[in-house]
Formats: sequence, structure tokens, C-alpha cells
Amino acid sequence: MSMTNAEVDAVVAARLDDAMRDANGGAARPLAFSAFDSGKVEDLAQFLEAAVGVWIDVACKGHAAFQIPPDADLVLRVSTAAAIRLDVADAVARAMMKRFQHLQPLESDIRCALQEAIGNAVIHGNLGLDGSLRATMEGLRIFSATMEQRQSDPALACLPITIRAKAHHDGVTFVVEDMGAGFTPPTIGPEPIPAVAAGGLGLAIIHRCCAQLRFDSGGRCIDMAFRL
Amino acid sequence: MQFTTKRDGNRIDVSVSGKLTFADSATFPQFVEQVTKGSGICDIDLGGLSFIDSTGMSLFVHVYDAAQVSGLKVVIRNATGAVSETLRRASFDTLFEFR
Repeated sequence: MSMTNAEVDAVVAARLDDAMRDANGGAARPLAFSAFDSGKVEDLAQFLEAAVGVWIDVACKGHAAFQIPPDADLVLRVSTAAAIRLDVADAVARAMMKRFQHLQPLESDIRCALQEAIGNAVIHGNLGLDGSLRATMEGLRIFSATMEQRQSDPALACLPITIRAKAHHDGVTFVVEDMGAGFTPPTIGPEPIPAVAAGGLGLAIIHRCCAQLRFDSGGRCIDMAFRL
Repeated sequence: MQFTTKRDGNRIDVSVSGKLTFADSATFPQFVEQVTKGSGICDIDLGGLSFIDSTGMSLFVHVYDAAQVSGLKVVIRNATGAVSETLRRASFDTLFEFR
């Protein structure tokens, strides 16, 4: 384990060590991991250039060591506050492109789909906001005010969003998981992307960008497969 | 996302830069209110915008709705690359004039 850009207390460090031991017990090869403080990071993409398999934001507090997934090439667990402040989708996509250069033709689609998945994880997942409010201007005001209020709530701001990526010779899989209440995913077909404000547009974009889309854990986990 | 507005009579010029994403949601009401005041022409320059996601696009739906009510004509200018492609893919070129 390494500690990066953070003073991580001994209890957190011990818990992360235990969690990584468990995760690595089920992995094909052990992953190096790094704990970092997202509050001190400005350029996440530059940060993720280091060849570390698992990045854990200590701002996730009690959730930092929760079920660290094994069998991935890159795992990033960030707090909700960090997912709002930092460009996580761009950083993760660039880190994977750098490590697995054969995936570069997929970069644009991965960037777009990850952005939508992380946005959904923040807004509808961990902050529990109702996207349908945005259908009207009055609803948008309520939505925006509620978002500001909830992202300032430390109990919600520290909830983790976990992104994991696994490269294959013919593509890559990204999974984005939140800790919200979940939802029943709608059936999405190959229809044109609609110009609407109320929500649903993000899932249509994800569907268009990836080859295969699956939801787990009651809608809290979205699994996106991209093929070369 | 950063934006600036410059008003001259019944014309308003808006310049948007950076990345327009879900993270900017809290600023959307302020943007719509500032940009759609009046009934003349609103020229929105997206030349400095490098990325837009679905939440960012929803901002322009609200601009469109408000402009329909006030009689404002909205023109989108200098959308390039991924931003232009994303907006056109979602048929925003049927809501606004693109230049």
C-alpha cells in the first residue's frame, strides 16, 4: 500500500490494508493501491498516471474500504463531492487509454458514457435527486437548490462512487456503482436521442456509446461493455 | 463552466467556456434568467466550450422554452468538435439556428 497526498490515520490505513488483502485474495494478480485525499487534488488525470491499480479517496470516510472489487485493472473510489468537483470521467478514460493503448479508438465513446454514468450516480444515486423536476423552470430552481443543499451535507458528500475498469483484447468494461436507493432501469431502444430536460437523455447516450449495457444491485450499478 | 453576458439594447451576447456538465446544475436557473431576459436576439457563443453532457444539454432546453415564451430569437454560434456533434445528435439544431 502507498499513501498519496494525504495524511491517512492509522485506523483507516489498517482497514484499507485488510480490505485490499481480501480483494487481492480473489484476484488473478495483486493490485497496488493508493489512498489519496481528493480535497487536495486539482488534476485527477495527472494523478491517475501513476501505475496503481486501486485509488481510494479517504474523503469517503467510513465507506472507503467497503467491498473493494477484485479482478480489475483500475479501480477508483471517490467521494460524491470529488465526483462533482473533479473531471473523473476524463481522468479514468485517459488513464485506461494510457495503460491499454489498443483501446484508444474507443476513447470518445468511453468518455461520454462514463460522464453520463457518473452524473447519474451523483445526482440520482448518492444525492437522491428527482430528475423529472427539471421538466419546468420552477422545477429546475427546486432541483438546483436541493442539489446545492445536498452536496453540502457531509453525510451525502462523503458517499462513494466506485468506478472499475477491466481491459480485454477486443474491448473494455467499465462499472460505475453508487450507494443510492437504486432504480428500475427503463427499457431503452436504439431510438434517436431526444432533446428533453427532464432526464433519461443520459441513459440514451450511454446506450448509444456502448456495445452492451447491464444494471445490477437494484440499479445502483451500471456495467458498460465497449467493443473495438 | 464559465459564462459571460453582454447586453446592448435588445441584443444579448453570451460566451460559454469550459465543460458544461451535471456539476454545473446549481448555476442553471441563474444562466436561464440572465440569458433569456428581453425579446430581441440572444447570441450564444460556444467556441470556448470543450465538452457537454446530457445535463448540460438540458440547460439549452430551458433556454429554448424561455425564449419561446418571451419571443427571443436564440442563435448558437461556434459549436465545434464533440460539442457540435453531441448537440446535433440530440437534434438541438432543430430548436436553434446554428452558425
